[in-house]
Amino acid sequence: MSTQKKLWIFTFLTVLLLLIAIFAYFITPYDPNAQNLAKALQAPSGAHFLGTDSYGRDMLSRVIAGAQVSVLSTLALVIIISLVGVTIGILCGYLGGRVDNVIMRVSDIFLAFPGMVFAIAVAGILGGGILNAVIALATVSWPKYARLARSQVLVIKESDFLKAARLSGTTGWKLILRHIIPNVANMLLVTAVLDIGTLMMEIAGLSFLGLGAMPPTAEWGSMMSKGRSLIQTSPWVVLAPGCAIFLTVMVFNLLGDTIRDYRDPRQS
Amino acid sequence: MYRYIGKRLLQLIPILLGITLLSFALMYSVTGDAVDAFYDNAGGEVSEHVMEEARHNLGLDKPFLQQYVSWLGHTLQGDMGVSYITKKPILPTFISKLPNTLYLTLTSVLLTMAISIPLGILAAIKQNKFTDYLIRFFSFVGNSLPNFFVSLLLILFFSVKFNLFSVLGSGNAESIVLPTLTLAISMSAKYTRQVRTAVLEELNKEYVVAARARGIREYIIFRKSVLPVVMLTIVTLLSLSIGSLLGGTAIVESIFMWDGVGKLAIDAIMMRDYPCIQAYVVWMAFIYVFVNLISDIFYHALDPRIRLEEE
Repeated sequence: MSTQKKLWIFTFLTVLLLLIAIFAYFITPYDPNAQNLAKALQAPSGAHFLGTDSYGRDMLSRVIAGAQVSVLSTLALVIIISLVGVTIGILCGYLGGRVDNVIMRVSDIFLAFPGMVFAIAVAGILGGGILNAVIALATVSWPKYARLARSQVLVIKESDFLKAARLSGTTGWKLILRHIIPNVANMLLVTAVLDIGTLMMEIAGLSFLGLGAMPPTAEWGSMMSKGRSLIQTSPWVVLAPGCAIFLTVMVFNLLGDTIRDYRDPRQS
Repeated sequence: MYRYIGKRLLQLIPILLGITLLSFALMYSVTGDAVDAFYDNAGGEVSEHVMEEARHNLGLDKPFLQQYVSWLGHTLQGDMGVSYITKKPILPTFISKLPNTLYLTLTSVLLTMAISIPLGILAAIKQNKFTDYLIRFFSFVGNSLPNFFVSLLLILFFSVKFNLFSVLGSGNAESIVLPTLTLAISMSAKYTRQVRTAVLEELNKEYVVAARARGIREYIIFRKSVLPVVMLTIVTLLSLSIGSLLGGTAIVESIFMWDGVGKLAIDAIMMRDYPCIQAYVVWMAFIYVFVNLISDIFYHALDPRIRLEEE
């Protein structure tokens, strides 16, 4: 299959996922939070395609509703860390000198922590909630983007086209906005898309530990955590959200790989 | 070589100071006041006067930096405070659980290498054949599975269907099998891919082609030229992923009730036992930094190019 074709397919799947996430509450067959104890822990059937959980809630509806929390929070996280990281990186690379030095030493310290350990601690201290999980992971992840952006800026700064732009009188913000940002963004797009899968698993992991989305919010990680004691008798309460994470992460990873191949055919 | 190690050790000092400062600031910003937290957990009403006195005795009425310096002093002497919950000193508890975590880390790293090195090499040799596609498919699947899902799948298949291993507690020798498998599956997926890329890159280099042209046997080329380079890749990867491994152990330990520092930390978070969380963060960062140092030294010893450049 050509890279072009793959790109279309995975972009289509990604858009589909995003639509499901955005319109989740319009397409769930049942109310994802409606409890019905008479119907608790039913195996998958025609009426409940993925079965029901211990409160009798429809699993399919909860998995769809969970897409909203998982996908949107991951996208928010990716956007936050790329914006913050890239802004800091560009400023450091462009300004250089003392600002650059201080910020890069700070990022060294952040990078000295094992990522997930620090995220667990930050999320634990902030207390539960999906927003806090996002903040915790953002705190840990920005230095990577700052460093990447900075190194790109340093390369661009020495490039002929930038020197030409300078010579013809472009200065300051215009130089950054028109010449530096588009080039940096170009490269970071691939990194960001490739990171979506990992970040989604990390958010779900924090929720699994009880440090992300709080019940009764339907979120894949916390659904699996609540269902794990039932895994022997009713495996679908764990398998349904688990497969949802797996498939979503896979789509984003495939998209990331394909974008990378498309941009840089040498690597494939 | 010794000069290099000495230099690297000196460079560590600001990083270690930064780590402690950040960890301290993190706790300071939320708890602000250990006395509140301490008496919150103790239960019952405590008069403001008693709290003021406790604050004064603990030095909590002093400015931030002064508190940090005194905390650092205690930490360096091996005193990381007292747990809010058990009221026991934290460091001995922590150290008693550390071997369990290191044991789990070590077994999963070994298993990862045992899986990913042969599979990566095999995939590279059979490039674009069925074997290669199969291995790449599995590595892709493994890459998209969060490790807590892998643990639950393993529990489902091994403990429930076959009743082979006990899932809970770290009392007996078998109980390490499932946590190790979980961590190794997640990591192998990533490494197999990287080993494959590294081998392919090396096999396409001109010296390999030249060696082939001179009639040197494939096996000799492999063992003498390609393998050392692959080892270098592995060392880099291991040091890079030790961070996610240490975080991963926390999740896996708490699922499998493995009695290590990760589970200790998660339990501490649930009970808001701040000094314990702090000890965990500081120690994990220290371990991470030192593992990176050791891998840099390895790198230095393995790769003459880097060695000569620095000297």
